[in-house]
Amino acid sequence: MVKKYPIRVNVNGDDYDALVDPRKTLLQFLREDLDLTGTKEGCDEGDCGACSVIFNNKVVSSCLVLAVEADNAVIETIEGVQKGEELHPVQQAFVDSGAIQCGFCTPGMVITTKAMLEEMPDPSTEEVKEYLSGNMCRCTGYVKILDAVENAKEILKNGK
Amino acid sequence: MDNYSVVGKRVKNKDAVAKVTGKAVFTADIKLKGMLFGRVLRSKVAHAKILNIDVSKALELKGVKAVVTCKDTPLIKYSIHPLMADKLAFEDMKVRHVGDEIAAVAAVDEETAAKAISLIKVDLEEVEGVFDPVEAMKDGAPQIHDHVENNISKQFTMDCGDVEQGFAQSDFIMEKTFTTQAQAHCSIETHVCVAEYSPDHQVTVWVNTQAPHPLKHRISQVLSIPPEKIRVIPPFIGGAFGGKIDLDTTHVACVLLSRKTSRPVKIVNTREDQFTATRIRHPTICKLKFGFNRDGTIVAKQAKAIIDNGAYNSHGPSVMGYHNVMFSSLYRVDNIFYEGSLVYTNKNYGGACRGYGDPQATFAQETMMDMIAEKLEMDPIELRLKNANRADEKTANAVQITSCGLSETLEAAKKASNWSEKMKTKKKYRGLGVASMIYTGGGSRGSGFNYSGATIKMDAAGTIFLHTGATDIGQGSNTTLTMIAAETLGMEP
Repeated sequence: MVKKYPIRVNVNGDDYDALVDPRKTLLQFLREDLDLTGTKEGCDEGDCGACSVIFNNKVVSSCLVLAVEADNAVIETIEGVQKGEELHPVQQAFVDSGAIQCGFCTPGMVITTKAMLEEMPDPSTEEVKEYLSGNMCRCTGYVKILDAVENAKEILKNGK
Repeated sequence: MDNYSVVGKRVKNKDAVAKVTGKAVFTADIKLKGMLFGRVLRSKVAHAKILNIDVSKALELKGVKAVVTCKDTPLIKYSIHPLMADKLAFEDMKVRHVGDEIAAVAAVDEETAAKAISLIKVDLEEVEGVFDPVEAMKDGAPQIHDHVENNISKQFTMDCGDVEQGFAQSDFIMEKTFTTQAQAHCSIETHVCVAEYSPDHQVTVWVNTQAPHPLKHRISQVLSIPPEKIRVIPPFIGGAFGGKIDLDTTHVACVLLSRKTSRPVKIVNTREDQFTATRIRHPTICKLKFGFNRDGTIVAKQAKAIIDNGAYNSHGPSVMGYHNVMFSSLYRVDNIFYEGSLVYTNKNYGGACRGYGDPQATFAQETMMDMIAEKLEMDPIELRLKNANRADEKTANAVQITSCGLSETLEAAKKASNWSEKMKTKKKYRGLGVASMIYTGGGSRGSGFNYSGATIKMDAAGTIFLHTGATDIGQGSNTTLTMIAAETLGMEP
């Protein structure tokens, strides 16, 4: 048996104490140990962005982070974005703009957009493209995704 | 469109909220009680005889619950063309490409399953492989399937009008060769399958398939299980693009391993598995010869195509059929000759992939059209308009064109793009181009029954239940079919 290491991690506002295999990725920990399957595994090597989560206020590919590295970290996954009954403005903007096809990239897109708008509330189109460049949509729905980001930006700026 | 109340209006995607909240369940998200994890052993060499498979060491590994090979199957070959079936779920005599399936295991976790795979001892005798379809057709080339000489799985010729006479009567002749490469679908979600046998010997298969009903029948055929004992459920599907339309060995493996262990079994393909062992777009070599007049009229056209099948048939024969029909039907040409050869090579094999042979044919033909326009110093749109299909006509290859807006579309595109002005001021290294295409769709053709049908039921509360064989893979069919039903029934979507 591989020796396991204790971690304490805050995910979506809740603290978890866990013993983890040091080879386990944060993605595997979230999906397998916490059943937070909204975060997706696409390429498993940091290229596609489907596994994006917010790690101490920064977007990371959770397939490239080890679970042990998340000790004492604050993590937000797609499951933590909606508060109560209402969708978060970023989620609502994706729904309203039709920025969704198969939906596999969507959690990563939403997470990345949310983190971006928290970091810089008024990004230019070029900045949006740069920030989202690590998130792939194989259905190639990028135009509507950019529309959704624009809509979300306006809603958040106007302080809904 | 004005006469409709729902169709043609903007309606929010029915699945959108599930997808933006991460609650949409994709196959890999399924976790069942007692679930085991499977892995498939795939060949690391391109062409070899299988001398012996020894699974004893794998079975001895703690945590391994079952191993399956060809011996656990009735050795029934498959392809979407039953008379050309050539693929076993697990090969028995030979492996024919890197990634060809040999065995599968189920274990308590993925790590143990991967370890078990490495403990299966396969004695292989490597034989010479062939990777270029032109080489594969030559006498003396390594023979990939015992029953197929010169590795030519299928040859097809179509001769309409009199192409030689057409060439003789043309002002100009142009001959060019176009090659296209393999392409992976690269859906962000890999192939995933979960199968669970119930105590009464019914099996439920959750799988990201584009075609649940044909898949049920194919699993039934390959494992000699009555179809009514199999239930196929597609959860949300993370992109497919044709790559998830076929039976895959992971499906067979999950069903067999679940039967053997009486536990649910899940297999998740890695990205490497996707590239080596799931279907690709067929590479092609297409030699075109066109005869045409000074005024741009195409008098005769000929295609001699080689479709690189890879190691097995899968959809190859019908992809070649589409390659022909799409090449031959586009434009009004009286004299057409098509010759296609579907050729085995020791490579991963082609299947359905966005356009199904059409893009390969259209790329060749439309590039040729541009070359002809250049030679005639004619506007590329004018050349296409000159030869454009028209509604209510039959093409030389007997395809009935019903509706057709090709000329109108070309005219509209010319206007909207400010084409004429741009052509005049076009600078070197700046692109400006046009291409036409033709395509037919609909799942009911050739299957003997109508896959495209839907049924509607209403319960006592007035709730409508729409049953359809269409799988929503991101194209939004769940929403559009709901819209059609709502329109017809006079309800809100």
